Amino acid sequence: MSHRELLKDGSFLWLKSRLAEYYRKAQLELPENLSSREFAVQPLGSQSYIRHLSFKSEEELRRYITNNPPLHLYYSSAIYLFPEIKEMDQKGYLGSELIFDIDVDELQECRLMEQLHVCLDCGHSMYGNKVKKCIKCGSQNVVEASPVPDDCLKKGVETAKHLSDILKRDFGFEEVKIYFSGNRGFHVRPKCSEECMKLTGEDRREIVDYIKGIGLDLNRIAGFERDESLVPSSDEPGWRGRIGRAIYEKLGIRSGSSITWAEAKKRIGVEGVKALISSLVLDIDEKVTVDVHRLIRIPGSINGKLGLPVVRLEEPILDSYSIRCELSPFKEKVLVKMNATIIDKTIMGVKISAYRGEKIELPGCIAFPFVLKGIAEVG
Amino acid sequence: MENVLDYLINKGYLPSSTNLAEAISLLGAGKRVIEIVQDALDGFYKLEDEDMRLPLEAIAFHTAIILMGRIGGKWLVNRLSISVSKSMREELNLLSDQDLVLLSKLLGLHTFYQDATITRSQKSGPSMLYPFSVSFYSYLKSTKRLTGDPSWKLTNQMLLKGRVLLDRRRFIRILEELIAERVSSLYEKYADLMKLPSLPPPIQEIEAYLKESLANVLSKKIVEGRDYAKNQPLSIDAFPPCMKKIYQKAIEGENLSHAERFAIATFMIAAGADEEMLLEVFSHSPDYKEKIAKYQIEHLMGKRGSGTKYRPYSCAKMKSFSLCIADCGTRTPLQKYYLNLKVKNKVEDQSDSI
Ligand code: SF4
Ligand SMILES: [Zn+2]
Repeated sequence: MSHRELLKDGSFLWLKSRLAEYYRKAQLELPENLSSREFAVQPLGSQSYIRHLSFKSEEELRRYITNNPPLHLYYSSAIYLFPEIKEMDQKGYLGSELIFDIDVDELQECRLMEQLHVCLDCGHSMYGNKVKKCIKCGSQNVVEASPVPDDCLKKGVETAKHLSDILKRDFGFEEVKIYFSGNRGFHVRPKCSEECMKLTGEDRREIVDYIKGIGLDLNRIAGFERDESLVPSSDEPGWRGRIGRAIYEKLGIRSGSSITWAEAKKRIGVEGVKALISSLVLDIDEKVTVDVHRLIRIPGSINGKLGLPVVRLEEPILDSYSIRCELSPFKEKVLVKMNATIIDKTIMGVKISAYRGEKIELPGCIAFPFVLKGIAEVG
Repeated sequence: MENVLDYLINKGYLPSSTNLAEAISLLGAGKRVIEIVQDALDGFYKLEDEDMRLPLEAIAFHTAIILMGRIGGKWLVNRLSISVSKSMREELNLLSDQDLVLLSKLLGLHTFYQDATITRSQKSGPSMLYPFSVSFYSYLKSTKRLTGDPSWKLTNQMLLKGRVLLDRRRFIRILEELIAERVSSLYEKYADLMKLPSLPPPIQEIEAYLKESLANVLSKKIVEGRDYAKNQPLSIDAFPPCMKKIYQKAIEGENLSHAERFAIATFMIAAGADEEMLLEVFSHSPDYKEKIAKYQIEHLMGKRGSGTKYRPYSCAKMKSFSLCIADCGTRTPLQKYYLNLKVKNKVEDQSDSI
């Protein structure tokens, strides 16, 4: 995406000043073992990361990011003896947090979600799923102009909550934090004990498989093919309980009474039962969990894709969580020149109507992603 | 029972080769050492657990490990470890639940028995059928070699509050695994003694005797294995670091995880290895079963099942399994291999021309 490198001076300086101001005061949630983590940044206007940074203290980190306000800011899930060394095998790996990532556009129901896109060449705007090519002029210079739709965000929240429940109930984690990544993802992070930090990549894969139900042997664990067997009761551990809860809930049967598989199959149908069970599989991104050398967006830092900070969702987490201007730290209005025509659209709760070439005032929350993507420019 | 294990595993620590030699001659344990080695190879080691003979058994056992390590490397020691754990099965079956729990603690496993935090949340069944529980961390660690069987997969376990609930039979199986692991770990513990150029007289003689009597069995397994790298078209030298490591592990008879097995097999197939070579690599595994290995390899080569030839892992995939150990800058281990081959051939060419 070359438009980022083509950021006009005025736009670049405006974005930079916004970020610098933000990072002067930003509340970053940093780990105790900060000096054992690798930090990485993607500077504004650059396509690549600067990796293997290491800081002794929060002050040192803050000095760095206020002088070079980054578009994206990460630390490693892993702790190292020498986080600043480039070669993985010499870093002195000591362990890694257990991280789960939910990407809203990877959720079964949201793979086809539609967002507003605009063409930066002709200014045309259009709805669609991951639009790659302008329907008007054929240009491939098309970018997203609206965030993830509310219903998909809601699915993301539900999945994250469900995952958090499994981590607590099944895996026994006492504290599980859920973060909105600032664009379209959720990070779910259990408090990782020393034992947990030492889990190998393979152990982590087993955990992912458990959560996704990979290798689930329905017949062995729940007697699925033996019609006279009872559907497992809701309070049983592991997948037995998960399956039991789903079926009894679906049939509206109170806990305490139970039915046989034959009965369940008669009432929901064999396919219905199977579909119900596969709906229990959580769509988490296994690559993230299995890889012990991942970089994670720092809570409190700005996600440079949409200009929103990574925030922790505190209990009770509302299912109605949605992306609104209020989430943005950028409040001030700014005068921009529009590079696209967007008529009567509501984005992040703000109504927008403007033609390509028109100069309008936009609230900072919209201006930030618009200017960054080239949909609008400053100065 | 606890005593025996204790003796075998903990108390038998022998500080130096001279002490060991003295003990052997004092107790007249030489004959037993030889028996143990032979039994291990035949796969039915049985420990002598009469109280009177415990010290002798312990000395002989540890000496056997040292000699096996010297003669046959880790592979041979692993053979013994599997043999020991199997021989324990019967005895474990005779123990009460409580004794099993005690033993598990000796083996370093944090076990819970009919634990209230679990039972309370259960109105019925499972806690009675599954009276044992271990943390999922211990479970994952101690079942690494068992997960080829889907019934051991974490997905299919009763997992509650961080604990995997187990019935008696499965709990005993885990103990067997831990015992085997304990015994194999003695290989590292005695590394120094295994490296000594020679041992004091009575042991040296036992070693000489064993070397000779095992020459046949071992030459097939080990000598072949060691020289294998030299006599074949694949250049092990040019393997990328990740594959070298897995290969080494295989040859030393360490157990490979699923991912490791898959990685090395598909890599070697793509690099031109034939079925026989692969069988040879896997044959060092202590619980090697030729039929199964053969089937798996044929499957990977696309000769069986769906007929798809499996693609070797990319570097990214290797990374995701934590199997990547260097930053070679290539996309696949195969690329790195070919690069290395080129460099190697160049060097060889140059050394040919003066
Ligand atoms: S970079 Fe690729 S070839 Fe090199 S060690 Fe890692 S996985 Fe193997
Ligand atoms: Zn266009």
